[in-house]
Amino acid sequence: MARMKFLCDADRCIECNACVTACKNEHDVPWGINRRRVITLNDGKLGERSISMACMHCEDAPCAAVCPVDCFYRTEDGVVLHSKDMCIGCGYCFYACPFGAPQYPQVGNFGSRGKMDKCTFCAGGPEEDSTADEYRKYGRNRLAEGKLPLCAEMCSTKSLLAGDGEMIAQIYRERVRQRGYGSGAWGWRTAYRSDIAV
Amino acid sequence: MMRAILTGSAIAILLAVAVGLTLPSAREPAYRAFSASSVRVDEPGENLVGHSWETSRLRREF
Amino acid sequence: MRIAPRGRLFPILGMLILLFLALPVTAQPSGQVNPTAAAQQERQLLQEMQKLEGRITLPQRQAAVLEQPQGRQYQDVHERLLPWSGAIIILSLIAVLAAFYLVKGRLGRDVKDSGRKIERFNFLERANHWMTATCFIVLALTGLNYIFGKRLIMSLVGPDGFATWSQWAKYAHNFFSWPFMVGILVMILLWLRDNLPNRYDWEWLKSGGGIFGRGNPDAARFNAGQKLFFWAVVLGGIWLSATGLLLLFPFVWVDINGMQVAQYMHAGMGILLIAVILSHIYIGTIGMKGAYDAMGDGKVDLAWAQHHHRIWVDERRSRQTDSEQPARPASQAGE
Repeated sequence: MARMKFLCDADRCIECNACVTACKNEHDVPWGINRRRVITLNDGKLGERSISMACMHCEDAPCAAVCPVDCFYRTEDGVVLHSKDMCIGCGYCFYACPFGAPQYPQVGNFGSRGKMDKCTFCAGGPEEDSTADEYRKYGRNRLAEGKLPLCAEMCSTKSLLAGDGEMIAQIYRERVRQRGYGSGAWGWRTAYRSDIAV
Repeated sequence: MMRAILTGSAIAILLAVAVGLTLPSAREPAYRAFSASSVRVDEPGENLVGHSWETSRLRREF
Repeated sequence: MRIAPRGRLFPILGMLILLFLALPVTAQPSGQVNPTAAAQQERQLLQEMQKLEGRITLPQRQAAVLEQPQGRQYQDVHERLLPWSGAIIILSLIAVLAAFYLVKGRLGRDVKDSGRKIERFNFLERANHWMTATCFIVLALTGLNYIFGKRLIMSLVGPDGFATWSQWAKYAHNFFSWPFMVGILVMILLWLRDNLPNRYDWEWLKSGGGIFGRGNPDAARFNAGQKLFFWAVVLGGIWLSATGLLLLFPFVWVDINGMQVAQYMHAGMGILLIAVILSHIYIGTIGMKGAYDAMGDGKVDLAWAQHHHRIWVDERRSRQTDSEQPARPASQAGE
């Protein structure tokens, strides 16, 4: 079975934010909820790098571990999903997430922060695949349609790669060999506890 | 004998309910807190997060 | 040197200008440009900075954090350290209390009732005590639910039932925290004066409160043990309130790592205070004869008061006029 992963080739990312927009559009994401975002390091300086970041669907996911109601689960593709019916909006998953992926509809924590929302790797949720109920709660289920996440699919520089971890690691390795440099697979050691040896 | 206990727990519950009814309205929604003051072409949207998902449920159950 | 003809001056000038403009470029090593010359690897950046933070176009400060590996530490503390230390502290305390009861039995059972009652706590003190106690029990149970709920009761009630219960437990935890804070403040106002250290405390502590050591030490309104308990509740309560407010207003005062530390401190102190309160409940109910009456209906037996709080009874007597205690023996009035 495939083990789905994201890889952002920071040497290719041009901070066009199209991945963010594509995600917003594909899942009808409301304002203030950012399943994917682009962060620029060393902005305006030598060595500036932009990285598109969302849920990395970690190995031994910290969010799933700290959830007090155990609402997370892992699909057979290695995608980390959660049940919004169970979520109590405590905010622990945001404290645990190394990548700031979980999003909440409420800012204050009186009572609840609302139902947590995060990147689903375009794989929906526990509901029946490709149903209206699933779309309302988790967005479109592209994986069930045999498609990969839209953010990576439409990336104009093919900086953002999504798919089987082995395959995208191989693509990145070849790139680095061809062009002679690479700033690394951002977040991989924290998320997957393994790096891409180039 | 039980008067202080009953009074105390009644005050505790009253205060908690009062706080529970007032403070959630002081929460700021993410669509207001985390959006820029740029062009507005539509409502913030309620897909994925629900139209005040748990507050409406809370109101129903109270 | 021959002066160049007019027709050739402009190309030479042009070349000079070009050369001048190109100087900064040619000053660098020629050849293939390496675009990552100043670009750091993720590994180097993480070693230098604790977390990776950049610029983002969203008006959301914490979204600018690209990567904070401290989340993995949070996972370890939250899922290993907290449940294990919490379970060990609370269970071993219950074991100690049970052993204490088996060895020592009910304390003060030899003190004979005099049949006369005096008021120890007035209605305001008792109502505030029980108000805070109600809050604490709710907060403790719902707080423990965050750590132990999924480990203990989730399999019993099923995932959906447990999620519903936890949602309500979370509301209760958030909302009962406010009357709890009020209760702690009122306790400080009511009891701070009587809980300042005085000269009887050291003697009391040296003789182990009369439980382990010799004799029956004197005490004013509160003995040193009760004072220690008061300060544990007040300081622990303030600690819990402060860290709890940080958690109620996420990211208002601290960043992501601050939120993690606030959570460690809140949960850790919560477990300690639960242990403290468990011993308080023990000594206030089955642990000591007559102790419950003080907070139950506010009146304690005079013999109990004289045994445990002799100085307080004496001071109380000397303050009150004869009209209130006409049957007072004259021999005790001068003490």
